[in-house]
Amino acid sequence: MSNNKLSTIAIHGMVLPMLGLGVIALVMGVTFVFFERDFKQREERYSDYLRAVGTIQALTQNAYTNAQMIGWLHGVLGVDQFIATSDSFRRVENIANPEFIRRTSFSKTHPTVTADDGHPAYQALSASWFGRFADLQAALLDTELSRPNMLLLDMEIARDRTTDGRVSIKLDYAAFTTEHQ
Amino acid sequence: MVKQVDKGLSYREISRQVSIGRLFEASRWGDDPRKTGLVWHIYVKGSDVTSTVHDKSGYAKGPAISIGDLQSSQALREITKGLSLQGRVVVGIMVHVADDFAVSSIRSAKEGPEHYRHGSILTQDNPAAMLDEKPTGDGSYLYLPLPGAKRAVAIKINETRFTGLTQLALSDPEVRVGIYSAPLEYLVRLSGFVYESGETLKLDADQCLTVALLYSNFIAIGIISEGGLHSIATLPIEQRTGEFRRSMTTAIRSAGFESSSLFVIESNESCGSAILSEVELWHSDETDEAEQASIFTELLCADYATVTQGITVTRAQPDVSVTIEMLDVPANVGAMFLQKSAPLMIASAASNVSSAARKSAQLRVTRSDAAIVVFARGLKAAAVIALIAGFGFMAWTVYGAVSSPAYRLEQAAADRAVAEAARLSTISSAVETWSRVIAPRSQAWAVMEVSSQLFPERLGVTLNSVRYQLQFGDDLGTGAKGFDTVYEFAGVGPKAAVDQLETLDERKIKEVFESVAGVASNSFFSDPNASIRVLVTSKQGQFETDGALDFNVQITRTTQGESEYALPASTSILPAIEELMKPVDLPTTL
Repeated sequence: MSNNKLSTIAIHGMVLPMLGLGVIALVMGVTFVFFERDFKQREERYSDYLRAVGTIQALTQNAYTNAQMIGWLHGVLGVDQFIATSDSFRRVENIANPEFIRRTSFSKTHPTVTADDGHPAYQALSASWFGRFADLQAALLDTELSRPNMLLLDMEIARDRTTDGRVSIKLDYAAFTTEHQ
Repeated sequence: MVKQVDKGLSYREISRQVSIGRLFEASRWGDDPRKTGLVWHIYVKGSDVTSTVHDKSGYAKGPAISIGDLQSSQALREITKGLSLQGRVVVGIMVHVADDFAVSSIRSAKEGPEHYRHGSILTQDNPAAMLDEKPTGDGSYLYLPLPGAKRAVAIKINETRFTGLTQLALSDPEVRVGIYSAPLEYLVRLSGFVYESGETLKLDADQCLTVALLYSNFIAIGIISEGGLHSIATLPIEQRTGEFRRSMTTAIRSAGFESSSLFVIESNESCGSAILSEVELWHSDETDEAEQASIFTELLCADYATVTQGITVTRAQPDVSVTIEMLDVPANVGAMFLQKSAPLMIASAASNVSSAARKSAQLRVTRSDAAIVVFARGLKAAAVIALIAGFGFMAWTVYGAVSSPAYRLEQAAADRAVAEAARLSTISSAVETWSRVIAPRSQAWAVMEVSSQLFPERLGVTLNSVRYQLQFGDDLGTGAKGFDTVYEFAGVGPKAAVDQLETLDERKIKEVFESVAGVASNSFFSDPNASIRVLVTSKQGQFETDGALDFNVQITRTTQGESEYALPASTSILPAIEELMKPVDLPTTL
């Protein structure tokens, strides 16, 4: 009989109440865990949102500058570099004294290399000049400042022993472009 | 309604009996009614019922009760409710039966001293196995050892008269019930008289002490030898004058004793006065002296007062008056019944013949059960508190969460912002990448400036050729390609000038490049991370006859892939301006 009382106390006094409380705690816990998980996702989303807003605000402040830059880059990169460079050379020739400086050749040595092979698209240009060193440097400065997309790959300067110190220059450029991306 | 024992107690019933305060009340958890907080003594002599209560403040007159009330559980419940102060005190009800005393024989195989230890339990549980004759009626049996004769007898008490008491015991866990044999209790307690009177009763082997307890409807006779209680018998009270003496003499002699002292204790004046008169007459030499002298050596007469006051025993000669505390078993009971038999007598006198008392014990929780219940309550309370605290914490956390802007932000708004930031970042990245692509890092005019600064006219050498090459290295996963710019100068000059050229080292070349960086306003040439190697060689010129030397200066300047001047290995599509100027869609408040 005492065992019956003990089992009654154990079952009705401990096991069942604790089971009930345990079920309540479990439901509460599971609900809370799901809520926490959802809230953590919301916090991550909010963090991403704040980061995005910061990015947007920073970039929006620079929008005008970037717009100018994009326009300029389109101007520099978005045209046929062979023609553009040739025009630059011609402008130099027009203002220079032909006795001191002249272009001896200009060609597009390779088709436009696209961006697919691992680097920005470019056109391979080759040019040759003949003239006095200082005049050639000034001409090239003028040209290269107006065509900043040109990357000098190879250059050879050789002194012409037959003349009064004038030199011949052979130049190979990679002229970056967005035309054929 | 009487609780069915077999069904057991429900937890509600168990819990109702338990409180943390009660757990520490020792008087609440025993089964013995005399150890409760308040004991209600009911002395039953036929229809005459005497009531008294005893608590820590002493004895007091008990509530009025009739013999009929003992058959009504309702009446008893109402009385005990008042006595228990509405359940605050456990009440023990001790019924002392003074009108029912029947002696039965125990089977010879079960009456020896070796059965004394378990005889009481066996007799109560299974009297048929213990009694010499078949049990009759509804009475309960009490095992009474007779150590003086080394045998035992059974005392039968009819408890079925007290149905109300039985029902109360089985329905109220706050009540302890006991039914006791009053004559047997007296036999035990009388020993206190001998001690209190300062005399030590010494009995020879052929002597005994005869105690005659005169009740309203019977006489209980106990014969005590030096070994303890020797025999016990009842005689009907309706005896003719002289019958009592003859019966006593026969009983004593049949027990094998030559002489005896005699205690005669009267409990009812009207019934016992005749016998007392006979005894006194017989003691005053008006009877057969020879018979008297041969049997009774001393006569002691006692007279009951009320139960509440105890009993007053008066010795005939000399007059000694002693009040015996009736309700407490004297600790020195052994002075009369000898030490070895005293515990047996006390145990028999204290035996509760109520079968309801044993059954009701099963309906009560024990102290250990109560401790478990209290522990369970504490555990539940702690669990509930923890649950409430947990719920509070969760509610507080949830409230804080749902109040935060992070919770209110809609997925669509967040996605729009992230997409917008990504779009603008892509644009910015494209602008940045393309700006890096076209950053000045290899230009012909700058190479010519290096030549001019490295070989000024004052040096006195003639520069015949300049070779410049840009050689890309491997893309090492940095997203940009490092490269070497290789300058190679060849010429001729006098030995002194060439010797000066041979002093060119990395530091001097770096100075030249930094100078060019200043002229060109281009930090590429002053990149501190770029490494420079210089190699100067000279030899006698093949066509020179004036001792001039041919020289060759090779400079290799390495730009690492990690450098900001390394060429981006890939570019994104340069967006249109309109793409940048699209309006941004963002929520204004959250």
